Amino acid sequence: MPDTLQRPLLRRGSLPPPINRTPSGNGRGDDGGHDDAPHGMTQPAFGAQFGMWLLLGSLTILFAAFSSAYIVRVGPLTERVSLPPILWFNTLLLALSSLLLQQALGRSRRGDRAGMHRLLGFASLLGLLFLFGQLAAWRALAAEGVFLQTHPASSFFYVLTAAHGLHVLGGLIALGWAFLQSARSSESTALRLQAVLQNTALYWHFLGLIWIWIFLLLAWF
Amino acid sequence: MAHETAQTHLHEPRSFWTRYIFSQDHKIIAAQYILTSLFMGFVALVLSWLMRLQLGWPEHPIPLLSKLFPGLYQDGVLKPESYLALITMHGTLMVFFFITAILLGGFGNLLIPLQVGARDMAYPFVNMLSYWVFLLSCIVILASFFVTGGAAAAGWTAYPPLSGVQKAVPGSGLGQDLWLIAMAIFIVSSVMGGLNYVTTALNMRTRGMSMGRLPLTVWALLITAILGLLAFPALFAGAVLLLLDRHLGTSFFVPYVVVGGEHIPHEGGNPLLWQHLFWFLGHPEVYIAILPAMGIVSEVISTNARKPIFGYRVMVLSICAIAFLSFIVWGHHMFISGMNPYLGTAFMVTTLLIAVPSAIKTFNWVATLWRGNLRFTTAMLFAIGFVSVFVTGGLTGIFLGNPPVDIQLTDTYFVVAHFHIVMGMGSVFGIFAGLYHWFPKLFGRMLSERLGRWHFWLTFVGVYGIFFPMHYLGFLNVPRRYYGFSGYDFIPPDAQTIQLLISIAALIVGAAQLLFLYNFIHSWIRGPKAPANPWQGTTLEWQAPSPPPHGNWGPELPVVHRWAYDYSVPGAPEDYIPQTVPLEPVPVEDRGGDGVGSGGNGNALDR
Repeated sequence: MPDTLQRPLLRRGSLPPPINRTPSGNGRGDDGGHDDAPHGMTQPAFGAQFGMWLLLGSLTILFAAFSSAYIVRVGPLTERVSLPPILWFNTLLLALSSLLLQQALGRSRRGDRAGMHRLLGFASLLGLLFLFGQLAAWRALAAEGVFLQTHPASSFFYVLTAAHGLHVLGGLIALGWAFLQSARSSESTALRLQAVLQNTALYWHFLGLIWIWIFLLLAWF
Repeated sequence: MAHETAQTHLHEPRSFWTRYIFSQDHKIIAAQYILTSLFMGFVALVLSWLMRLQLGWPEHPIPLLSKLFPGLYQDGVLKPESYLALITMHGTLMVFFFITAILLGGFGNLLIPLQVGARDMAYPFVNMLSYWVFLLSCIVILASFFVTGGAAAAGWTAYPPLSGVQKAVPGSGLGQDLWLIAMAIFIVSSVMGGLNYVTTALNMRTRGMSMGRLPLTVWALLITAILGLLAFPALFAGAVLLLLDRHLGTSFFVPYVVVGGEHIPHEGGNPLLWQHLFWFLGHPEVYIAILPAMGIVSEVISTNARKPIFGYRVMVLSICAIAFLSFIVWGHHMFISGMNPYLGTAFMVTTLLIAVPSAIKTFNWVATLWRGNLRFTTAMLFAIGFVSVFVTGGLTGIFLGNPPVDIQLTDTYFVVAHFHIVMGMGSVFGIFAGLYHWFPKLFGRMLSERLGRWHFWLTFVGVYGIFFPMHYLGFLNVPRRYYGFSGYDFIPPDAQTIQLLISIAALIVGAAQLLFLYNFIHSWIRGPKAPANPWQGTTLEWQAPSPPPHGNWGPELPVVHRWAYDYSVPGAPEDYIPQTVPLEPVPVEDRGGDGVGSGGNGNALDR
């Protein structure tokens, strides 16, 4: 049991182990043999990623709650929102952004800082464009006279896209921070930057998947 | 976070502000959580007195109360609409802002790092943020007492349309908005806390602290934190949708309603949808309230019975089983809603299944007590009291889990009795056991055991005096949440006598809590200094000084060599062996065959 809980964390943290986070205990109960090893003031290493996975678990429930509310409330009705075509374009933007972010992460692992900076810039830009695209979709619906309170399906359309959009906005802030940091990053901030990048990428891909789920829900359910 | 070097970890914050106010030290945050949530619990307690005064002596004018609570009273008599606000706020404050906050925020923060041998939480900054966001939610919900119309009045479950229509009752105005906003903020805080508790318990364990050596408190807190992470967001979604219904004209929950002859512009909303979303959180929530209490009780009973906990592995499995089942029983709160009987049956089966792990745990506590060298510390008394109320309240749960019985008893005092005993008093007894047990560790002082015993006996007897008669009220079909009962022919006049006795008991129990408050404050300032290990416990926190310094462990992290419950090991010189003592070189006193632990010597109670 402890091993299955521990191993992925230690393996997945593909950060080069920073000097200051040397593992001093790993909770595996291997108290034979290692007791003489010096273990000083430091805490065990763990990816900050573990916390991100937990957060994603929580967010999954949040969107699951919205989705099940949609299914219960809108399912029996016939009225649906005619989805603005720009949503397809937005989906493409978000997917591309995810791809570029993954590329940026790879660059940073290889130490190509300029490349990382450039790719981060593009990824953030696409994320921003996605948000504007979503706003355009709202405007298109509003122009047709479909508002938040028009009918349950439209209410859910606005709620789901807004909930998702706000989370994208949060991710964009982290991306923007990383972009600015990567311009003037020194050795000391490089590790921190990479950790933030890794977490943000995870979060960003998750938001991409959530968007696809929302899109499918709105389009076909 | 990544920049914490070996040195900075020991850098104690020096200024008052960074040390005690904006602290990132888990022990300070634990104290902040405990003090804040005790305050919230006290407010909720006062609200219950006001309700009991009305129920025991209906509409009897008490002019003083008009002066103290001008918003709630008129000419010394409680306003009927205020009564609705009282039940709502009493429930909300007790369940979320007292029990959940003190168990997870207070004990989670205190015990998880100390018992797994960590220096602090995984994300100290997020931990600090969690407390401050929690405090914000406390301020918002308390503020709702002072707005036009008063606090929310739709019950702690906030069912629409009552909670969804602004004009439904006075409290459905701004008060209900603040309730929803406070809950949303609280959920954000609890998610931030939950991330920390889970990560710390799983990833920050010191060398040798395998999962099988974790104290049951940590197991319980870990599983509870996971429950919280997976349950709370559902209510967050519900709160967002309900706020939209209230202000932006959507119809998620609110159907066609007419209030005072006026049609409120909603169409076809589904009130049951809210109930599903609420109880998807709400039922795990009651296990969020009881599981940490169970962990605390396991720890206290084992320590004070000087015996290893009976069936450690099964205890862990029971915690996991209860947690899993808690997600698939929420429908038993909705048997009355006209659900498909087959669905009701399914929910009944899962509900009754919870009796199995619960009974196993109870059996194990009793088996741990059996022939132990019992030390009746106050913590132990409260722990045994927990087992008592858990059994009593659990048994009525079997009644209410059956749809045919539940439909008869729904919304009567029987339900009030059931959940107050099992979930309310269960959690509260666990909390008191924990406070008496770990107060010395947290504040470095001993609580008075003499006052503690008074506190326990008054509370224990009083609690049965309050809630046992409520079962009879339930059988008499006395409805809950009613301001007054005059003019209902189906309620016999004797019911009022029972109400009066309950109110007297409630006021006595209330006074006993003042005793605790005095003990808490007085001991904090004047209590005798606590030794490092006053109860002769085995777990890691007792190997640190009381209170532990910043970073908890001095220069070296502790190394764990054994499980958490080595009490009365045959042949050992003392009746307990701390987890840090190596397995092999235990000095064994040569006392022939009679080497069973020497229980009780040097007990802190002998002082």
